Amino acid sequence: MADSLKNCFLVNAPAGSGKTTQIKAMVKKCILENPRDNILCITYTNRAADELSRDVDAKNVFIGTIHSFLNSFMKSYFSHRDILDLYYEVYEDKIKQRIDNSGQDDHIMASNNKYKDKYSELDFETVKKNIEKISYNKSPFNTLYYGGLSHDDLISFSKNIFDHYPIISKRISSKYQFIFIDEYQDTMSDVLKIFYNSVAGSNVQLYLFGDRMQQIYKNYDGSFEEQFECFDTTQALLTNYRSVTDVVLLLNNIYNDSPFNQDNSPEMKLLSADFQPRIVITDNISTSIDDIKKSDSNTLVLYLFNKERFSDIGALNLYQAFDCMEKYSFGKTYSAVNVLTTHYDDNPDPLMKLLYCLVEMVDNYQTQKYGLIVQTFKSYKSIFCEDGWYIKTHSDKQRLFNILKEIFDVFQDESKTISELLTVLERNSIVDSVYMEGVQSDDENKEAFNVPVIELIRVVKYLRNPKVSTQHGVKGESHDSVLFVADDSYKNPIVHMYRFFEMWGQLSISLKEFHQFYYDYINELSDLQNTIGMKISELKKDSFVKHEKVICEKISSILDQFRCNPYFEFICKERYRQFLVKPGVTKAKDCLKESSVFGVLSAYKLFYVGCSRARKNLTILMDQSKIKGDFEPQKNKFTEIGFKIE
Amino acid sequence: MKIKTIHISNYRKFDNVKLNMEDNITVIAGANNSGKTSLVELFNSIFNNTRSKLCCDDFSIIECQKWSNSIYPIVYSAFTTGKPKEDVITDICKEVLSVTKSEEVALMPPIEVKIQVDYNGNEDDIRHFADYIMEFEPNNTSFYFIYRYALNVELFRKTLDNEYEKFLTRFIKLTRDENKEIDAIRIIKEMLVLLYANSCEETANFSDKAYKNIVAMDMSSFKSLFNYHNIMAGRNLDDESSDRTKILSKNMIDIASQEDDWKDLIKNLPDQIIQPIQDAKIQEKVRIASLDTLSETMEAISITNGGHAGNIVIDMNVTEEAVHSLLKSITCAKYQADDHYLSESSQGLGYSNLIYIHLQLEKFRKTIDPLIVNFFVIEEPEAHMHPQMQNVFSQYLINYYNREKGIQGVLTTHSHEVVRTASISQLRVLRQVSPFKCNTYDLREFQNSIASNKELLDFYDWFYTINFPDIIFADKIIMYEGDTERMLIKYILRSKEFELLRSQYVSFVQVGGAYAYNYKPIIEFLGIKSVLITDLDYDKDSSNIADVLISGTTNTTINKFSEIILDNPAPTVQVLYDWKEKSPLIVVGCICLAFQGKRDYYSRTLEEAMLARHYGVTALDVKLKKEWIEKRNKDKLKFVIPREGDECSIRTIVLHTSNRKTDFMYSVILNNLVDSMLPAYIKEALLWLTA
Repeated sequence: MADSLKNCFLVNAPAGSGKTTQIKAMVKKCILENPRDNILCITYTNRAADELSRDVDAKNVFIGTIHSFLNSFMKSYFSHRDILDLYYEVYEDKIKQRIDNSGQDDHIMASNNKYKDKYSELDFETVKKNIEKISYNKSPFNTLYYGGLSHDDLISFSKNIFDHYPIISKRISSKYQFIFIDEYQDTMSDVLKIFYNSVAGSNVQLYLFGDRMQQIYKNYDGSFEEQFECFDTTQALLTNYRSVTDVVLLLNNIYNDSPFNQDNSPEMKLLSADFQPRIVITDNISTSIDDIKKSDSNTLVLYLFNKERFSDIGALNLYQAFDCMEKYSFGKTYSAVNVLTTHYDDNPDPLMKLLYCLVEMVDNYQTQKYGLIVQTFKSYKSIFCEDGWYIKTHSDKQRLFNILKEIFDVFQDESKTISELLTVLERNSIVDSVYMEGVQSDDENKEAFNVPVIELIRVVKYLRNPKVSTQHGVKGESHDSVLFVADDSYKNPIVHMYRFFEMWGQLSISLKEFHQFYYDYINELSDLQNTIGMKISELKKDSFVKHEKVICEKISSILDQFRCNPYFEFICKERYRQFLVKPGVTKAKDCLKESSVFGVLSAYKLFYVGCSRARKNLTILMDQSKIKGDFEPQKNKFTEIGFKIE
Repeated sequence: MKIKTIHISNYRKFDNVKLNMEDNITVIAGANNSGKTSLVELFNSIFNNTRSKLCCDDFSIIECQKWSNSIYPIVYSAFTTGKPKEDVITDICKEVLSVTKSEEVALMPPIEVKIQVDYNGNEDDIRHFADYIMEFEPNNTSFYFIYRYALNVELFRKTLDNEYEKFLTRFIKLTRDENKEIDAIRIIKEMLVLLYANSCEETANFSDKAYKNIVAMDMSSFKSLFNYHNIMAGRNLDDESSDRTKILSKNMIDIASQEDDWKDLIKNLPDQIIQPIQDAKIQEKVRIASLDTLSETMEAISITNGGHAGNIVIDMNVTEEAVHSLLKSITCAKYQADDHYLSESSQGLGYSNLIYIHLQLEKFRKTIDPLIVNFFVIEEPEAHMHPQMQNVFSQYLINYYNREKGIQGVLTTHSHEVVRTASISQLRVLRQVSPFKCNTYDLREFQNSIASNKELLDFYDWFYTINFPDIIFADKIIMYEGDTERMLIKYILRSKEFELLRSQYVSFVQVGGAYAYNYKPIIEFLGIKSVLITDLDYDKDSSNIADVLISGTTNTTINKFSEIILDNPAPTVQVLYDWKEKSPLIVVGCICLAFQGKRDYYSRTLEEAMLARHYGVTALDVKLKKEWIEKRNKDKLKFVIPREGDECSIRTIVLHTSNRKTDFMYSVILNNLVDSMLPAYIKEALLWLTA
């Protein structure tokens, strides 16, 4: 292990360990003890930032998402000549490709023509000449001709700037004496590196908070592992404030990493569960769910699949409408679930942002807190149009009342659809016309327009007090009784739960080792992909023949490298052996599949997080027919770690 | 935007007080210690951004006491358990918050101010208030706010944590040292109250009209809805007496500088000023006079330092601020009297004060923002002015506010003259009703209550300018018929029995029995304990007792009271005597009605009653003139014995003395006969008033 750094801290904060409270307390303490220091606090969402800012009110603290921080911090450099040059250097190829539009993409063509209309010419030099400064465009895509950086590129390009100009990097460490980063496990390694490089060798204290087990996005790519090794990890949060003793012991056993063993709080020690954590094996999942829900109506059901979850919520139409949208399909930045379960503050979808914002107002309307509705209109100037809501006179006030009545009457009527709601909004010009135009002209939204508004209310209600969820649902939710429905999925999301159980029966699993293996292994795979210049999944018969030698060498070197690795032995070895018996493209693709490892790893994390959401009563529901391999050792494992088998 | 009502709870002596505000100006009148200053200080805390916040003295003393008494034993036992610090704090916090305990007070009621702001539905622009809409009723043109000063539990815990050691030492000392226990307990209780107050914080909310549906808002947003300013006329000049001469002049420049064209006007001044200064070679003069010699010294020092300290040079620059302060220091407000100019300080404080207030008002007028509430409070504008000036000036102020539609004003006053200038409906009277409780009396409400009675309205209209201020500032009122009564009462009040009364503001109101009844509404409205001393005034031709007993009285007030209490609008003397026998004191509401009774020897006036008591005969008994002359000489009393006839009664004597009543009363007082002549009905009534 490398020497640990004196100023970098990795605070492991497992589910229920009071991470938010801890960060708040540390920030407040910092302010009190070092009133002249500047403090930077990077949160994962705007909501988390708001939540933190509510209690922390000091001029010397910046609280915000990485995007809001970089945007404000980098802004002053964005019109600098050297930075612009760096921009051209980094994006030259991409800009040229777009100008060429060799794929004859209609969309690009239209945008190219638009540029030509405006500047009469479109070539790299013209683009270069016209860009006076670059900026963050707050969208998922770069606006290359105008110097607009997307979400991802704001970060990657900032990283580039920091790498090229260490003096800018130095500015972070000279301005901030304390840096806190929340949810490090889902933070891009570029971001981690920006701060790490900046504080290295200085007195600035860098704190990373989070929990590997709760990694839900693939933002982090494993390229910061070496640096993590140097972090001081002695400040782990070892008290669980959420669950009863039985559950905490179980969680420790699942984590299987003694430095992270938690003890529960005295308050929770006083409580006890209605029953010992249990495994229920059934041949009829849905009847069993109904039975359990009947015996404890307050049970939170954790599904693997969103379809089941949303159908349980009563919002299946809404889910299906978004699930079939191209913009939220597999591989895109956001999924339908992200869009449907994100508070309107952070919601990336314009339609859902508008709708959820309105649904939140329904309560204020019903409780006659009209002032709050006006305040919401006011604070979302980009969504709502002043013509509709602005009040100057008594008659404006009356007019607004009539409008609100019309809008919120729609929510009272179960038969009304989103489309009817939009019509009312449009008629009263309450929504900004450009915003509305954007929502309505998006053809992909068409399906969603037919969804009844009642489904929106159901989802929002559910989000406030979830009774069902998926296993990788929003972090932090917890419930007295949790029912975890074990299931497999071979497409997004990739979860091999029963394979995990099978492996668990045979191996002692810990997250640290498993992760290490996973990152080492995919490193080899990407190495191979780089060598052959294509993705393994895209291998065809002829391309396989062409690269056969390289592939075979890689496969034997992997076999060699992971010879004694139990994870590799269990998950991969058989397929590698099969390949060696009879090499061929299908077998190669089969054994070099990343998902076979990822599926088991994500099952492990999901299982841990799912269990951690139970405050008292935990039930795991297993489908008899899906159990893999010999169940006896699995049974022993479950019993050993604290489950009772029913 | 105008403040309609301010409803105050649990603030100092304002246990539950609702103040209705006039659109233009509300005059808050009250004697000393009636709560005027408290009220203005509350306004300062609520509406002003810069003034200090509320503190521990602002809680009701009674509530503080209640709370500290109930919490003390809990805190005591927590501190003496010997548990670790964290546990003690947790235990105490738990107890403080356990509001479930039925009668014990775990929390003091918060200081709460409910404010209703009204707007004119046809004119006012309500954009800044739109965020706080809670009522959509078409006729509702109000916004509702609640300002609160209440305990923040987190803060309480923290403050307790900080002061833990302090408490602990006290408690340890207390358990060891039993002699001083009482005092130590008192100190700890005071510390507890302070702890409580230090853990309170102010919050602002808006709500529906019932003040039930409440939503929190930013304190700064709340304050931004009010453009508030106040001046304490009395204090400002006292405090800054050293520089008083400049106050007016400085203010004048400040006001002028807010005019739009001010900048243009002085734009070129800096350059124009610097030129002659340069021409006059002043810079050089300064350099030669001081710097050159200084330089030598500096050089010397510099050498000993072994370094170079740098040269001092002079640079002259005239900035706009410099011009501004130049103008301030050269502008002198002067008073022109005939051909003479008098400086500011040549005039009395009152005069300066008057101009100062005017200038402040003008300054404020320039900051009027029609989108928010513009609220200007003048505390006791009468300070340093003589009555006539008070009258003229308050007239001016009231006209000013009436004219300036954009400003809503409050005047607080304890001046009779200011009260006289205001109209009845603009007055709010503050009175201390018990040592720890103040009340307001809304005279617009009073006026509305008598609105249907034209006669009474006319009466108040006239009476208002005469006696009214005396009444509203009074602790007690004595109403009497004539000067002789007044002389007598004033004399009696000197005796020890009435010591308590002498320490209070007793108002003497002269009114005849025919009109005294008209005072009843206002006295009862204000709840002032009053005595109405009047005369039985039965038919003076009744020559024997039988006639007396069946005769009625011409005293309207007595008849009216009888109508109320006895349901008899025209009682005979017999009825009245019986009434008095049954209840020696006739008290209706807070008014005690005093007149001659059976024990007063059938007298019908004060003088009759006095003579009758002194000589032990009835007013009707006839005696030889000779006897009367003897008695008169012996007692050195001055009364007139009629020339005609050989004999006469007290009645005839008093009748003949009617022009010399004052002499008579002088003679009673100067010959120390008051004790033996004082009629019982007066003494009893005054004792009742004192109690």
